[in-house]
Amino acid sequence: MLRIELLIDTRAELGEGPLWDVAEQRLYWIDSLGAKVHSCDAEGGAPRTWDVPEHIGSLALRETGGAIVSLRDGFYSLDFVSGACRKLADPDPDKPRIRMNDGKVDRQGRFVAGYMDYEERDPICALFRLDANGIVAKLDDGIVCSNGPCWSPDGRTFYFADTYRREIWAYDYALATGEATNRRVFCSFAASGLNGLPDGATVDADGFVWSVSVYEGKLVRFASDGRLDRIVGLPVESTTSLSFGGPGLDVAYVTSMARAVKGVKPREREAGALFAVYGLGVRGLPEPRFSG
Amino acid sequence: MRIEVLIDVKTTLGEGPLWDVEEQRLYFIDSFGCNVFRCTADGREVRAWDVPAKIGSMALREKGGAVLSLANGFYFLDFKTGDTELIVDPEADKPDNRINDGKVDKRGRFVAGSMDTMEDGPNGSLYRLDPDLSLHKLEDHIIVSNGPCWSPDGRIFYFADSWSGEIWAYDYDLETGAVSNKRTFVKIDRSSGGAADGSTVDAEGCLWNAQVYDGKIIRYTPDGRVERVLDMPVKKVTSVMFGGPNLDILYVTSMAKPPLPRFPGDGVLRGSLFAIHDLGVRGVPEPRFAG
Repeated sequence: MLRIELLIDTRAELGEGPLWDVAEQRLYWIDSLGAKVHSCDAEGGAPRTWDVPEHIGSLALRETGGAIVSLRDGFYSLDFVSGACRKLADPDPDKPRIRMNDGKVDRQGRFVAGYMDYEERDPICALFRLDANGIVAKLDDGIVCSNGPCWSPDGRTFYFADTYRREIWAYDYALATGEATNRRVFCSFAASGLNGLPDGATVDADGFVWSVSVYEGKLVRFASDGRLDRIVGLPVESTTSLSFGGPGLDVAYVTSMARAVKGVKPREREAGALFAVYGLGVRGLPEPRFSG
Repeated sequence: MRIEVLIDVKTTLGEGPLWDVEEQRLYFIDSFGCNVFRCTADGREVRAWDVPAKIGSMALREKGGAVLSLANGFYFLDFKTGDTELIVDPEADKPDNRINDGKVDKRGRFVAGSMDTMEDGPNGSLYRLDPDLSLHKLEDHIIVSNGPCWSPDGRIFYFADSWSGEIWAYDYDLETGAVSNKRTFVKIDRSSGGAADGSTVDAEGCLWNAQVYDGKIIRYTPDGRVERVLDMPVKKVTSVMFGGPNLDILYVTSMAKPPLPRFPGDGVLRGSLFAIHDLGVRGVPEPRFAG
């Protein structure tokens, strides 16, 4: 039976990027505008928080320990013991209007993250890949707001959205090199009858693409042919991203935001909380760590 | 004794831990994050509310919800809707002040004092909000109000101006809520930069005070002697309260960022809520506001 629980509420201004780590059996998520990294156990206990020096778009754990984070002005490492952040690369320097946003690790341990326009208006942003050796490569550009990078279970299809196009794209992804080519429309939110915008996304063990339809409070699942397969209503409209986790990788953890958008505060008091969705009958895949 | 990080939500200025016996829940606030937090005795089921201004303290009400001291007055908070409602703003003419630490006396009155946000001038006052919602000034010329609390019989009131270097004791009239006979209870050793922050009184009548910027929690006997000094893993400890099922866990808040640039930074545990176990001491149940 489907059950949605408010797991933990830290009033995230802009909760994002839930990430279940199998090795630690802990959930990580971020508050982008609160500039925080949060972590808790599968039941929402033992919360820990780190503050980062800039707005944060995403986080991944590293094989060598600690995390890699995409902050406003580039890729940084985060040391969980000392709390220190160190800049690794600034792929698109000297542009105060943009910040790094959503990112994820591919099946080979490379970190892919893209930028967004702070004004969420103009296609002035690009998508980058950070390899284990520290080399940065541009994967795409002409983007307003990068969101929802994720891969098919075999790693050969890369999914990615520019939130304001209201589409999710698919690319061929070269496992050996991390090159993304042959961009095409995977699914259209408008054509699927959805009123929201694609935000964070993940791929389940059966190869279905899960996205959050932000501003309408829905989890949506698309089959690998782009057909809308399932809709799960959520308690708040301002949901932002999801990840499968828990001991059985069968709990969908969903972040949300408390911030006002265009001057309007979310209607629901629970906006900003982290939710756990049980009983979906779906499992996720273990999230790879960054190998650099 | 064992000190653990119970939960860490990196409170910018964590304050006001409050254990409610009826709910068996711990409340605490983030003064600068404008949040009220709640969790279980062992740090689970974290919930939060946001309030419309900087928050100095909160207490639960007998009839449900909370009373808050915000930067711009005393408010009620409805936990179900998250709505706040102004009761009274005693310092509408002092935009550089905010209302800070507060606590409920043994008869259900809420006592909270204001502070100069630059922590510089003696512009603050101490107020008592009675259950009929009338407000009374108890004290004046305070820089930063902190640590109001009472002896177990409720007849001695303790209170500090953080920058006076002292914690004071007053005779407290339980019937009227009037204070009198102000005297020095203890002088704070300020040689390491510490200042008196939040306080609580345990069941033996000893006062526990968080000495912010010095990372120490000090237990004073009723005659003002230092009985115990606890060294904390962070310098900016802010307030203390006994709680847990047996009222024998000391909960300690801390701040992740100093309120003004002149105050020192801290390590990675800054902004955590700590739980100190096995002190061999119990607290006293905290009364609720009767209004």
